[in-house]
Amino acid sequence: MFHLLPEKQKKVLRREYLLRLLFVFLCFVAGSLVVASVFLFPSYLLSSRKFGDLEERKNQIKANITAKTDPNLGKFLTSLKGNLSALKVNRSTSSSTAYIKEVTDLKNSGIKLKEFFIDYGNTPTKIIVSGRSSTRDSLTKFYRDMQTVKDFAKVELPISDFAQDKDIDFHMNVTLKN
Amino acid sequence: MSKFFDYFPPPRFLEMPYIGLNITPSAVRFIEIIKGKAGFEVGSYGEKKFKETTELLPALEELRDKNKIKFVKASLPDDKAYVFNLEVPDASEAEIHAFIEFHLEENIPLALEETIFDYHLINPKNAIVSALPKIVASEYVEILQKANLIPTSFLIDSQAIAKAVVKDGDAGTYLIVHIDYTRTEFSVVSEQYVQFNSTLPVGAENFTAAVSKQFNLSEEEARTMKKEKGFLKSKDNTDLFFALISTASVIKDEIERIYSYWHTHTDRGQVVNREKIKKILLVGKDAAILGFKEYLTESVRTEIDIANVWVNTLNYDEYIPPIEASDALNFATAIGLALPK
Repeated sequence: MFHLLPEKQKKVLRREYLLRLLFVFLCFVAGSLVVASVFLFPSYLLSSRKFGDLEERKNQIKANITAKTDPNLGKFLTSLKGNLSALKVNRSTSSSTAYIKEVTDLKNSGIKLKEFFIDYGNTPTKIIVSGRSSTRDSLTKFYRDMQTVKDFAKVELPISDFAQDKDIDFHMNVTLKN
Repeated sequence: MSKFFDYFPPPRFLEMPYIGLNITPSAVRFIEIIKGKAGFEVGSYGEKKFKETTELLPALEELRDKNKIKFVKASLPDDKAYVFNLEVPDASEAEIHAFIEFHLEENIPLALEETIFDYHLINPKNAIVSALPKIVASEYVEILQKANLIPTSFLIDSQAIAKAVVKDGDAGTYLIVHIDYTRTEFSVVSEQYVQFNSTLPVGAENFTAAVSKQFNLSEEEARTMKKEKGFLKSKDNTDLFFALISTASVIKDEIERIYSYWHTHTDRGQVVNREKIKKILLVGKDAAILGFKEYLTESVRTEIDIANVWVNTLNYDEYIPPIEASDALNFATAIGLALPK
């Protein structure tokens, strides 16, 4: 059918139609949202209820934890930790026992050990072994045996300790290996 | 696709619901055709007469306010439009459009840049072209816009009438005579499209004026007399008959002239083999004046009938329109405009 509309008027109509199309589209979108909201409302209620329950439970657990947490417990644990560390047998303590045992195992019948002094302040650690030897030979033997110990880097016996033949008081300096 | 839209019709808002608006120099008429249970039904309708063209705008505004109208399909006067048949090449739409543009000035007395035209292919090689001056369309757009109405399309009067009174699918040839208040439009419709049209500045008001003058009656009294007695040939009615016949003979002569032109017209010396006019259809309230049809039948060689303006709109068995049959004859143009494609 003929239309006979001026071009300008055709443009006006086209614009009007597009506007109406846009309006219908927006109405459709809005309608879909409303329908979707209606259908989703029960689920929303259910999940919001569940969320509320979980929140409540979370708060309950939090409250329980707070109740069980004594503010002095921290201090107590810190001091306990300190005590435990003090009681902890460290390597050097245990090895000093081992060194003493090694030295005592090496002593012969002519040797009487009087004192052990272990100096942990120095690096490497030094042990001073003091005692009395009944004879010079016993001391010499003890000195040589001490030198065979693997853990000892150096064993020193002052020459003056060999001045007497009998009942010799000696001080042996042992330097441990690192 | 059409079945899909039957079940899921687009929103009415998107269809831009319109009314058919017939603008004549002496009246505006409108009608709204809506889809009802029994097919099409009449929505709102109305008519506003006026004497001066300056009253057109207030009349349109009144119709708009009373009936909440926004979109209109309006009619354009036949006397400003040109309709012609053109042989076109069997080509694409754009090529046919360009071809018509090229040949436009050979067929109408208007420059291409001053013309708005549209066409319809009757067959692959023949197009009916409808054209009118841009300025006329712009004037109508302007006045409608002033009345806050948006025109969605324009159709020339005769094409709108043809759409209303020639049954869909009827490819026959008809001469439609539309007697309006101040003019009478003649159009030859073939294969559903107007192929020829002409206008006479003689109309229903001329019948009234003749009666008024003859019997020295007021306009209203003359109208009543015309309606009640009309062209009835009797001894008591001789004066009225002769008063009316002066105007009626002008219409009759024009019918004969067009009839003869249609059947004998040659194109560049070649006789055009046109289908014979099957029937003359009368439209307009005064077409239903008693005895007028019979008067014309006596002198014209073909069958004459009062048009059924609802033939494409409704079925009387299912729905009775609220407009009286004789009044509806005045609404033929508006009905044609209001009908969907």
